[in-house]
Amino acid sequence: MKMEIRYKGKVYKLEGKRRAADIFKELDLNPEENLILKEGKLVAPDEVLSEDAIVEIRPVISGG
Amino acid sequence: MKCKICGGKAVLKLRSHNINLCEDCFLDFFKRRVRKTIGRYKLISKGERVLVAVSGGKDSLALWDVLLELGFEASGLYIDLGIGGYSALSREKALKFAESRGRELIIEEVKAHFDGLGIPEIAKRTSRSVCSTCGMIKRYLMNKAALERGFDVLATGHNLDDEAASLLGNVLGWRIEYLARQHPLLPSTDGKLVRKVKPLALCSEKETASYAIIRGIDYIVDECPFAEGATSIFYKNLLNRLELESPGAKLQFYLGFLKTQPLFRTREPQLRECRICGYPTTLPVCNFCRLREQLAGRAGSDAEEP
Repeated sequence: MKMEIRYKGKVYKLEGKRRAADIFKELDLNPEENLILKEGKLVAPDEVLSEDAIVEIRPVISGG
Repeated sequence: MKCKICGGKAVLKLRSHNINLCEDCFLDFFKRRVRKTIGRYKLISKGERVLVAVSGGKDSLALWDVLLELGFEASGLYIDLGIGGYSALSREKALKFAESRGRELIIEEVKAHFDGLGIPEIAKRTSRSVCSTCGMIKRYLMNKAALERGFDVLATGHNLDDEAASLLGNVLGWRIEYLARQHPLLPSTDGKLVRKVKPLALCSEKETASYAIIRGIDYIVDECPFAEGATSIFYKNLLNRLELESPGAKLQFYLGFLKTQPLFRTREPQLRECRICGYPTTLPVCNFCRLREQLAGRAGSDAEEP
């Protein structure tokens, strides 16, 4: 089982459970510019996501 | 991670405020912050009619929502820019929000003012950048819509990241005339210029997005196709790298500027009525009318520089 992470139209798969905050580190993303959502709800940085979790990384920065 | 207010399960860590909050306490925190900004800078008074410029994005819809939550009489204004599928989807989001809250949404179409041309075609035919064309047309139509319909104030969803990035750009170029006008409150300096306010100016983009998500606001997540590679996004990235190392840096940068901002104030430019539309401008023909003239092949020599 792999964790599925959807981000900007791409899907990333990671092995094993991990803290939400660690996902940012692994994907080299700034937590000030992104949020993690599971089933449309915010996920706390210290929440441990299960190995079969499906999450979305929602960028919050826009131009204009 | 526990909520600092109620002890429940926190979902957000706001490092700039050194606080962890649960959903409900964050909503209260956000509302208090917006109310405080409105009071601190005297943006909106009780009983005033507010027109909120909405794009279908998180910031403007969150702003409309929070103003309604705070008890303000607020209607929405959506400007259809004529940018293909992006405009169609963002319009749908704005309409859906207005309907869900039972509020009026005024719709202005750029194409109705430019013989069926949308922003990309206008920019292309006049060899202007898409973003500056879009900004100028939006500012004109927002002011016109607010005045013609008798609104007291026009509110936009500019957040802290927008303001800090804009400030960084203005400081890097030492654009004094822009620094002189950068403020959450842009007072009306002419009977035909509506007061403009930015109630989210002290809320970060992450906070605004969190508010929209927790409130269940269905906003357009996709970026405007013309924003890719925008300098403002680059500046935001730089500032957020700084924020990561030094929490609160963006807020400190912007608030520090606001304290010293009067030092940058210069004499207000002399305004006169545009000889075509009658709206205030510094030269005989305003930029909006000049663009219309240019597209019609009637460009004058006494117009403003873009």
